[in-house]
Amino acid sequence: MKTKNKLFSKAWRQENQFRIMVTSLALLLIMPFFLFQAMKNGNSFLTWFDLGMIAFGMLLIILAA
Amino acid sequence: MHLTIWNWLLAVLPVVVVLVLMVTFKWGGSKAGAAGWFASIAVAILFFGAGLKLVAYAQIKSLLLSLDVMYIIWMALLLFHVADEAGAVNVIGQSLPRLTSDRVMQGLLLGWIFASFLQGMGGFGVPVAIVAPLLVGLGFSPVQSVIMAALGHGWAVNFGSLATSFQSLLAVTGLPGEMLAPAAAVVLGIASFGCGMLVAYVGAGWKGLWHSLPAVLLLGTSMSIVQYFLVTNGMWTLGATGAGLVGLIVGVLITRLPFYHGNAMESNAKETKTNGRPSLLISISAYLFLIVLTFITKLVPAVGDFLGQVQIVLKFPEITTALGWVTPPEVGRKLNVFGHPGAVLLYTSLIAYFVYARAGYYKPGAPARILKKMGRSAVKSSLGILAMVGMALMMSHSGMTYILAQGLSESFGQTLYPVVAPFIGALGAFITGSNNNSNVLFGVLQMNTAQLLGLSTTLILAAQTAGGSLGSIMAPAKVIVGCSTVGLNDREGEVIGRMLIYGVLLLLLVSAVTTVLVLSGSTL
Repeated sequence: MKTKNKLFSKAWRQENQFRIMVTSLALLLIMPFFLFQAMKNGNSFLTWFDLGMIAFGMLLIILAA
Repeated sequence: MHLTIWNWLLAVLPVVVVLVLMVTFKWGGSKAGAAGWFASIAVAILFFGAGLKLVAYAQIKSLLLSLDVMYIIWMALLLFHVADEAGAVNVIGQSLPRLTSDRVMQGLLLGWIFASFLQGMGGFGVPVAIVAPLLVGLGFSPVQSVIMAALGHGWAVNFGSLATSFQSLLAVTGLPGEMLAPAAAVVLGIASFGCGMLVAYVGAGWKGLWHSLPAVLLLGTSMSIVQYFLVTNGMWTLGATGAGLVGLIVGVLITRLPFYHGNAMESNAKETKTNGRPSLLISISAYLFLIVLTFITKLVPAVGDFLGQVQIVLKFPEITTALGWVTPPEVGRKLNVFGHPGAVLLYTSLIAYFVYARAGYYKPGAPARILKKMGRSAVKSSLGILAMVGMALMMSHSGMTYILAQGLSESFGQTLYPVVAPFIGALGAFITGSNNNSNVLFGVLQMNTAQLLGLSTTLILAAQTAGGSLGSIMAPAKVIVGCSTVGLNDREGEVIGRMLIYGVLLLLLVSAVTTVLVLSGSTL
């Protein structure tokens, strides 16, 4: 994302809004399936990691919209 | 879990966060929903005893529920843009008024019937955006046009957009569509008469209303019956589309009656393409294909079985909070990949694209434009759904929704709650701008309250979604979009003010119908 605007500034977020939303959507659609596998296997680290990625996806919605 | 004022206030906090952010800070639905999601997780963990397992499984379940809705949204938008890019939507809209010079019938055909049809197969603000300018072109004032288009499609929102809002209600409550559809269809069918009468009144005053009554009764009856038939036979995705299509056919026939014909020169509805303009029959063919394909997949068992071979199914264990709230083990929402209503929409879109392309209706570069427009609209609404459904599932799995329901049931009681239920749905839609979001926010709450009060769950949920359907048309976000299409950028307040009066009348009608049905012990 080459841009003159400072990373994560309001202008940068507006310029890259659609890309941020698509990234968020990808995370929120894909990570729950990995999370389900992690829960099934009882892997705590991956469970936390996957939940963290879902939370990051939600945060991106707030940043982008 | 015992109800206290403290845990009730904590339970309502995520909803308050969403509403305050949307109303006071003018955040969009997806952004406010994401904030509400964080709030619900924080409250659930800190005050309602939710652990890692609950948070994780609630998120996974919410994805399955969201996918069920998003599949339809994406494909409904695809179909709409396939038709719109071909000019089909405009052709349908412009052909209708030429059938009659009777002003009241023109207003009804466009503002009520066509708007409902557009809501059925598109939604997402499309009815007002397309119909309001058409009404202005016929000589209605911009204020009249926005109000007529908004009121006209209000009853069709729940089963519109290929029943996205209804699908969300099913998703969050976990109840089958066969159980909820009849009551919703009856309540909304009665509301349709109110919508038609108000469109006639706004367009032509009391005289226009009296003149329109026979037509409103005929059209309302035919659309209500068709919607009821479709949704009670498992075809709720076609509820508003099918009803709107039949409404168009009956409306065209009514314009043949001397009482409603006026002196218009008739256009030949069977004309083939002339001078490069699309024909009405080919333009409407996409929706005819949709109806045929839906009938085939629903009513031919061999086809349904064949398409149902690939399903996404996940099983979930029992989940308990530290405070003792239990969510029993269950199978998550099954996703039928090739037999889902979204899949039927995809097949229809492909066939329609082929037909329109063969007829030469597309300009170069149409596929890219269609996909781009679909993506732009669908991504944002998908994020909103993921956030809101995630929040709703957190609240229900941690017992927060149950606490809210307990508080409401003890405040209103069995007699008063049916009166209030549609207004709760309308409030949710008014504030969030969406019947879908209102159903996600309040569906489980209304269900739990009904159960606690010993009221019919189906009727209370019908009231919720009917209220949400009618409330969504008054939402400031929707009114602003409508006003912008007819150049009313600085008069939204005037439109909202009038919309509120008409909207409350419709909600009182729904409230009365719900109360009568509940008190009569109806088994709908």
